[in-house]
Parts: sequence; structure tokens; C-alpha cells
Amino acid sequence: MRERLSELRKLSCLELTLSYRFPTIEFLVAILVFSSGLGVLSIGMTSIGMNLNPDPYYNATQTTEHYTEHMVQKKTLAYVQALVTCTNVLFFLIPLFVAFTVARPFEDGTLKTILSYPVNRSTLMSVRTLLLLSLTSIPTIALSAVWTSTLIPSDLNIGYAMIASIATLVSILMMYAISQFAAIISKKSSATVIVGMIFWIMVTTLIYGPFLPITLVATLNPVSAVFNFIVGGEYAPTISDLVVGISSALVIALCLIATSLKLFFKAEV
Amino acid sequence: MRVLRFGTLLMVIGLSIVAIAAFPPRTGMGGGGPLEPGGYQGGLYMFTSNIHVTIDVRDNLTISLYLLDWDDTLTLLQTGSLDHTSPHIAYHNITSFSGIIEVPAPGVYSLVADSTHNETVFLDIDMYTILPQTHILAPGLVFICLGASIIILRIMYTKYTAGQ
Repeated sequence: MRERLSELRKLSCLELTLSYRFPTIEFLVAILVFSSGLGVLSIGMTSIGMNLNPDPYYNATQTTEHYTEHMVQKKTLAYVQALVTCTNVLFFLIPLFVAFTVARPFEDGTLKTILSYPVNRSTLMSVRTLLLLSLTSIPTIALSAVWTSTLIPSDLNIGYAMIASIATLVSILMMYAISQFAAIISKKSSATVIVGMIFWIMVTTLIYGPFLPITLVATLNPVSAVFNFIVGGEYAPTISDLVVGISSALVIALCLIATSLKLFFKAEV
Repeated sequence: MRVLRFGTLLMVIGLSIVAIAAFPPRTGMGGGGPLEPGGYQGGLYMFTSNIHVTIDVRDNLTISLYLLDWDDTLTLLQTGSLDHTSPHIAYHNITSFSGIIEVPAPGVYSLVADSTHNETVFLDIDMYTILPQTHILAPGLVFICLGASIIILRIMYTKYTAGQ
């Protein structure tokens, strides 16, 4: 067990040195700080009208609840909007990262060199997957939470925030799975980027409007579906649509990752 | 090398915050409408810097204008009165207003107006955030200075140890 952990640690350090050289992580964090901030401000700077008439029939409890609920919804929406903005940017960046970390080692021979050492292929892929997912999802959720809690003082709807955070993780996992699958099938960074870009364009354009069934939209871009669910409206999904969409996206992503792993075991380097 | 990367990371975070302070997604806000006798009219806004406010009261009637923070806004909602609040800004008996209102810290504020007239007063409120958003810019600059200090100190330390 200790040897396994030590191997994982060494591989993580190697991967950080090889694939996440200066200024890759810095660039990623900068983009996420900017995107999450824009997301929070775009919702936070909307105003809520106030008209109080404190006559003898003035119901203080009801009025206070009305405005506090507005503020709770505003804070929750700001948090979810920050997640949506970051995820849309990550949908563009993840294929580039996967092309650089998974497909490029096939092309330049780095993978051959690494595998000439006593390194398990499954450990190598697990390290790459976990590193990329942690480097993208943890800053996204943390920065969105920091911006929201700093700028908007009211409470947060914890239930919606949890669903949105899970949907963000699933969205990122889905994009990673598709890019990784393309990278291992093609073994070319250009093909990985092209497949990723096509999916990015698809999820950022087709999800708006009545082009696709709501459940499919929730599967392709779960975090945007959560935002639409909170806002409500004609094309808003129901909670069952969300559950089906998020579960389907998770199953598809896990199947793609499992298939990619199988293909990676058989891949000639 | 790790210290240098940490310093650079702080600088880059600072630059991103400064970029947001300079280019917010929206700057304009507004409100207004009929102000009933004995009532309050206004809105809840999130301010990240000082704001320029223009208020027009129709028919030359007068109003009083208050800027309340979130806690005072809750007191106003709970009591229906400004008695137990301490407004950051209060302008009394004005027929119109155009100027900059200083916001002490980032957060949610309410800008409300009341009137002493026995008739309904109609008012228009128009406001925009003054750029750069100072309350976002300041932490950004702190991050930049902190990152730059770490980088400079590390370089000086490396040169000093190399000299020895």
C-alpha cells in the first residue's frame, strides 16, 4: 500500500513537471478567477426593487421573508452562474489540456520513455485523470464560493448549491472523458482538439432554445441545466429531468473512461 | 522554484482581479416608481465601488434619500421604519440629486427614499458604477504586491546565497 502511494506521488510529481510546466497552472487559475468573478458580478449587479408601505396592515415578517428569499435566490444564482461561466471556459480548455497531456506523449515519444520504467499503465492514466480533474474542478468550485460569499451577504440555498457543484463535476468529467477517448483512439493532439471543439460548440449553442429535448440538454451540459432549473421558465428542466440528465452524463463519462482505459492497455506505443 | 511559482500565482490572481475591476459585466442600475405617503421606495443593489446617482422627483416635490447596508435594510424591513438604523448617507428634502455616493465596503445596500408629503411622489432613479471598481481593485493590487514581493525577495535570497 505504501509503495503504491509512493508510486502515485512520484508519478504525480513527474506529470506536474512534464505536462503542467510554468505557466500552465497559473494561466488556468487566472482564467478561472476572472470567469467566476464575472459570473458572480453579472447576477449580483442586478437590482431588486423595494416598495414598502408601512401602514397598520404592514406584515413585517412576510415582507422580510420576501426580500430575504430574493437575496438567497440571487446569491444561489450568482454561485451557479459562476460555475456555468467557468465550466463553459473549461469545456474549451480541457480538450487542449488532454491533447497536451494524453495525445502528445504518443506523438513525441514521451509515453514510450515513461513506460520503459516499471510503471503500471492504469496507475499512469489514473494519475493523469485525477490531476486534471482536481486542477480544474477544485478551483472552479472554490473560487465561485469565495466570490459569492465575499460580495453577497445573505444565506445560500445549500441544496441547489450542492446540486450545481455535483453537476459541475459531472460536466467536467464528461468533457474530459470525451477528449480522453478521442486522444487514445486517434493518438493525435490535433484530432483531440477538433473533437473537443466540436463538442464545446455543440454544448454551448444547441442547449439554448427548443432544438433538443430537455433531458438531452441536461445530459450534455448538466450545470447549465441546473441554472435553467433555478431560473425557471418555458425550457426549464424539472428535478426529474435534472436527475436523469446528471445520472446519464455520469454513466456516459464513466463508460467512456473505462473504454479509454481498455484501449490504452492495448495501445501500441 | 516553488516559491517563485507561488509568487507568480499570486501576481496572476491579482491581475485577474484587477481585470474584473476594470471590465465589469454591467455598470448601469436603476429603479424608481410611485412613492406612497409614509412609504419607502428604492431598491437593493450590490455595490463594488462608489456610484454615480441621478434622481429626478416629478412636480418639484421633495424626498429624503438614504443609503443603508444589509443589516440596516433588514431592520427597515422588520420594523417598517428608519428609526433604529444608521444610514451611511442621508440627504433630506431634495427635489433632485445628481452626484457620487461613497460606498464604504463592497456588499449589498439599499438606496431608499421617503417623503413627508401627503400625496404620491413619482421619482426616477438612475445610477452607474464608477470604474475601476475600487473595492475589487484594492485586493487585486494587494495580491500583485504580495506576489511581486515574494518574487523579489526570493531572487535577492538566491543572489545572496550564490554570492556566499
